Amino acid sequence: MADHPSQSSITAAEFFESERLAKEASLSGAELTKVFWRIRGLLKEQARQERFWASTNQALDQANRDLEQRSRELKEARAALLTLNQELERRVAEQVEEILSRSQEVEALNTQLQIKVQERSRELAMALSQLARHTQPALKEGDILGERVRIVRLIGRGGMGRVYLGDDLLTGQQVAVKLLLPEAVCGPEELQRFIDEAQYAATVSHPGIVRTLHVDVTDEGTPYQLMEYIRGAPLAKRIGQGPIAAGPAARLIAAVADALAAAHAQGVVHRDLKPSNILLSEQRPAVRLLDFGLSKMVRGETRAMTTQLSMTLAGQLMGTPQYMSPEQIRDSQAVTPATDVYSLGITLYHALAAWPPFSGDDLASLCIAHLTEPPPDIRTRAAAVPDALAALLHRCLAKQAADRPTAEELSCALTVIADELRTPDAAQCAASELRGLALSQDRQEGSSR
Amino acid sequence: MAVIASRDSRFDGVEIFGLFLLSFGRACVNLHALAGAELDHLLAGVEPLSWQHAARFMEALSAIEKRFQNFEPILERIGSEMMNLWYESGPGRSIVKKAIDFLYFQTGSSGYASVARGPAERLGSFTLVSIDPEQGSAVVHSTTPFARSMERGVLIGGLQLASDLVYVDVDNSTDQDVFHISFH
Repeated sequence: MADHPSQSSITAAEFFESERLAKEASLSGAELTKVFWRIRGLLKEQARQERFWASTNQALDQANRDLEQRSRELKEARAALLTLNQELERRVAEQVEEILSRSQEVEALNTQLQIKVQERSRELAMALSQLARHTQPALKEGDILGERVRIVRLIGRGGMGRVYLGDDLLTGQQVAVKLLLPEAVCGPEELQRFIDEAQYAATVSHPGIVRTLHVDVTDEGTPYQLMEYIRGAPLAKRIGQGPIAAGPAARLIAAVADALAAAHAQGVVHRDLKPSNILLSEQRPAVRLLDFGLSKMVRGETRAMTTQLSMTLAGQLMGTPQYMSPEQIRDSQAVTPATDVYSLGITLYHALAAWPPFSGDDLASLCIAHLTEPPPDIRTRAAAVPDALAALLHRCLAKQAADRPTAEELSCALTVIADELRTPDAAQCAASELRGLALSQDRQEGSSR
Repeated sequence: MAVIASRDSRFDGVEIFGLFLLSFGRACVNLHALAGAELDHLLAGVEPLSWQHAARFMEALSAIEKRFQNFEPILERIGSEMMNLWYESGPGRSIVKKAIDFLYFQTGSSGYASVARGPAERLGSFTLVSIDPEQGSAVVHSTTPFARSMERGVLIGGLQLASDLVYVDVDNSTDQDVFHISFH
């Protein structure tokens, strides 16, 4: 065979550049060698490229794994930080709680300290009071006081003074005469303040409030007060016999709240509301509020003054802290009408349960309870108390004055509850409760305390 | 695999020509072998005609070694890319008319000896031991401190510059310092 390219032979360039080859196309000789090496060269280059890209892809995969790992680590770090932050927040909250707790402890300790000071002072006051009783000249039947009252007889005696039944020579009516102990008023300024405030309180006009008829000072400098004489018995005496049913209790306290609302409307705060200052009477109106304004004078001054007067009146005020509001315990200057509502709430609780919500072995624990402890649910002590009455009662006992109802609101709400319980009117209720006491003598005795 | 690290001490006292470093850096950028701070550190203040201590070059190689688990194909490709840049953007096109021209140039005084300087015992040499154009074979012996895979890439890339060869292979698997070159 001839050694020359046949007509079907193609070159290496044609081999690589052609889109398709003819069936008879062939390579031979140097062209075949060129194709051989070129293909080998391409394979070598392809192998180098593959090694390069394999290495690059491997590095890329590694970078991705590193990124994922870092992402996981970041998430873990964030989770750890979140946990740490939660722990920190918890610790801060605990610290805040502890600080608040300690603050309350400090407040309680301060209160205890104040009360201890007062208790020590009271001991001195008792001694002074005893001395005063022995030194104050007693009035006897037939004595004329202030050229106006003829003394009939002594009907009451307390740490603050004495109460006599007397005939008002001006009106011919029987009156109650409260004669204060000289040490109850310390000096000319306090004496004038007593007169001013008693006269101011005397301006409160409401059928449910025992009227103050006259305030004056004897020639010996002893203050005295002439009041309406009401036959009846203090609510304290009735409560001492046992609990009062929900309906009558609501009705009677509604009447007190109504009288209180009238006083508040005239800017007067009682400040010493308690069962012994509420009189149940057979005369209409059947429920009367006593001692308006007097206690305001007693506790309305500076802390030093209060302490001093508390000393004098300590024996008589022993039971009063059971009815004092938190703000009144903290600062006697801070009292508002809401203070009376709290005290009336305690009184209502006492009437329903025959036991006040807070009682303690000593004055300090009693005051701390008023300041910090929620009152026990009235239904745990008086199961028959309706929900509405229990809820209203506990609103009255709110630690924050602003959370309590006004006296007017309280009166209205209690009236609604009493009506729903089909309770007779206040006069019938009072008469019923008094019958239980089987009173046979003047009931005002002891109620002036 | 610690080929580069094992050669660290070989660079003691060796300086590298700025143009070479710039070319190396550019190749790394093109192949995404280096980036960011590593690249900035390599090229900071490098003038084309200045001489630079080899330390920064070694640091760049170490960075590549850390980044690529199998870094030899990368260094080989960098070597080839550097030759492309030298040919396309530098004087290579006027020097290399045929593939064999490159072999002679690279192993002569204008090749390796023009991009590195320093103590002779550190610099080593890049020597054309033999060449047979008819058979398409040559042997180059290297005692330089540079990575052999990069030098292999330099030879492969350099031989392909003139596009007159259809086959190029460089094999130093038997002896790392001895490159057996096949070309057609």
